Amino acid sequence: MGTIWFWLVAIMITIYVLLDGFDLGAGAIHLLAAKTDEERRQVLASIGPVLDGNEVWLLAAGGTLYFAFPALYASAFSGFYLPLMIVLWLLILRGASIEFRNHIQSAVWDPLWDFLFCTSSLLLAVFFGAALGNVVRGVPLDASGYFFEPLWTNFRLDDETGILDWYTILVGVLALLALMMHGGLWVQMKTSGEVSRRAKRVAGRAWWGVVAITAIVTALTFRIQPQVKENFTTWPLGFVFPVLAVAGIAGVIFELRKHDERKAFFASCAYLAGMLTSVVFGVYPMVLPARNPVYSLTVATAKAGEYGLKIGLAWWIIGIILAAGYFTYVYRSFAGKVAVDKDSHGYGD
Amino acid sequence: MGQALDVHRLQFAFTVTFHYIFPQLTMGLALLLVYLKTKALRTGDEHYNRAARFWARIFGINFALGVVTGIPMEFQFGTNWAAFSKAAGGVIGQTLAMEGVFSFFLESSFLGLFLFGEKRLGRIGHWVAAFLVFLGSWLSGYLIVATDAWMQRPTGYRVGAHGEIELSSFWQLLLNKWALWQYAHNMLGAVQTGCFVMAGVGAFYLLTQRHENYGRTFVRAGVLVGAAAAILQLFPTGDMQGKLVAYNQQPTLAAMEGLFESQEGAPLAILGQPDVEKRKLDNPLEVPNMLSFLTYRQWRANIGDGSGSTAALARKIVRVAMDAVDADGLCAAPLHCQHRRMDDRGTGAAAVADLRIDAHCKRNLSARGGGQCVVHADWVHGDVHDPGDPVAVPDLSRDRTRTGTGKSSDR
Repeated sequence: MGTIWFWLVAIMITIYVLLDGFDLGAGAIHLLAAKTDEERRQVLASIGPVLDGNEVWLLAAGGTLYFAFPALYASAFSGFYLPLMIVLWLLILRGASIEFRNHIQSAVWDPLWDFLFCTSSLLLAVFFGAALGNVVRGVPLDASGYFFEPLWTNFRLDDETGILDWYTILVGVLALLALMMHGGLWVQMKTSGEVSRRAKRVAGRAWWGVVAITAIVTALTFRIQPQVKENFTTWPLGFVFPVLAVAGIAGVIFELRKHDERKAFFASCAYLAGMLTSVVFGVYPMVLPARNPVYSLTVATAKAGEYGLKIGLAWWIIGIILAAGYFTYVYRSFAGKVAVDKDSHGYGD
Repeated sequence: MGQALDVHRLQFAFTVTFHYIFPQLTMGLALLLVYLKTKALRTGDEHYNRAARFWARIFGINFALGVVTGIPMEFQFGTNWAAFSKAAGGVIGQTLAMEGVFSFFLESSFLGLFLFGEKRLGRIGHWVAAFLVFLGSWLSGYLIVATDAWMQRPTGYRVGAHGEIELSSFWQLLLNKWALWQYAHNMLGAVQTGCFVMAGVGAFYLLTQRHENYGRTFVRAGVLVGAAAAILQLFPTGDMQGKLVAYNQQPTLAAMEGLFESQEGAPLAILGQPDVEKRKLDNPLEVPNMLSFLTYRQWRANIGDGSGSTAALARKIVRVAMDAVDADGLCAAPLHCQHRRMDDRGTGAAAVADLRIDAHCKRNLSARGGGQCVVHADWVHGDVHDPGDPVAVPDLSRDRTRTGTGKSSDR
């Protein structure tokens, strides 16, 4: 039962990254791809109707994590106190800047909201990447099951690690580039005209960075987290995940060259999904590796009671089927390119 | 350490209080939006659609603020209350995760459609979107109230070997009696907030003689719905909520009402400043006997020591008597059984049965313990029943009725 929930939470996080990834990415390239007010409104309109729904996946994944692995939630959230507070502020700034830009139409304030929207999206991508890096590298858990990490120490991978060291920063940069590519592909698919062309160019450039850093990070990960190598040698079937990632990243450039906007975006989804599932597969059965492997939190030590997990599975399946229904409906309703008319609320008058 | 705890409490109190400003408005407005959209659909009058559009914008921005101020709350379960989360996450995680999976997805998906898609959806489709947003936000409210209800009056759980709290009955968690009443009480409060805001805006328009047409609609809707909600909030929901506090958490009731000593015929303090050092209420403005009457429907009932006209009954949760009994009886809530009938499972899991046995070992109890079994407030969990109700514990196999068990405390 624990393993099932391990994968269900992993899937929810993956869906979150695929969905919120493109709007974070769209934010990160906001200043690069969209220059005029109209272009910027196009970028915002392309994510506006789905943004809240995408962020809900973070909440739902967090809630599910809390319910299925309470010990992990307790340990990770108290240990990652500082970066979580930063992430919180970034989420708030990002949400607020979008709302303010939509509600206060003023040429004086607009540049500030655009700047805040762009930088908060950008930093969120880096922090999420660094968080993933921390999980892979391992955190200084001790026998109590708790830890605390400062933001940075000496940037080296020794016992006194901080949130940021050279490895996690590298993962953060990879996350940023990957989401810029992902967001660029979304924007080029959903918009038209100059902004679409620029987004495509940004995505194409980010692609090179993604390929290079993915290769480096993958090689490093095998050295830093021995469990990854062990898992892939024990269950060679797990190679489907990295293969999916490679196919995805190859697909992106292939479809971009063919100018198939939709397929390029979906290839990028495949890349992100492949990367995340590879990591998840690599660290299993640990849910939070420790620097000292003895203290690692595993599926077995962190999971909640068996009865609760079983009951949870019943409502979770119903809930997710419903959610999938809503999302399909919403994305269909807002399918196609966005048009920026005077009143973006779509009211009749 | 004490200081860190105070800071944590302050921070969390601020987070939840600030967060709740927004949901209570949006939950109320959600109902009023459905009302306006229904009016529009039934009368075909475009006036109501325009009114709904006006409120949809206010709803939208407050909803967004509700979401972003809610995220810190979820974070702080882990950052501020890690030990609690670790212990109880398996239980309250259920309701919190259900909120995410069932209501957040529903609300956020259809809010987008409701705000941005009136043209695409058509009249009926847009009404459905409004209704689903309402449904999602009210469902969300229930699941959060159920979480709080479990913390106030825990049911449907057991304590594992390492002190971890595990869910043992999903439906007991979800249909906690406390949750049902608190929810009704709470949602009526939310409706009133929405109504006050709507009526207030309407009144402003009327008094300044602008958009008088809308002003009238807003005032009418706000006052009518608000008056009904206000009455229902007082009775029966507020009454029942108060009773639940009185039966389950005597000290909470006493603290809420500024009552420092147990008292027969306790007054209801309308006004007064608690002086904690002297243990009395300064400048009191009191209605004599009112608190006793409101709680137990008897003017002279005793408030504060739990012996009012209703007996409190703890069951099955106290596994070992020594868990429950504080030798000094300090800071403790008394556990009474003045019932004529009482259902003790006879399996050793019942608190009262255990207490009776240990009460004979004098050294386990202080002198006062001979007459009243004094149980730590922290450990008294479980149902409290009206007098005469037999207690049923569904998850125990043996169920036989004995009368007069727990005599030791029934002197």
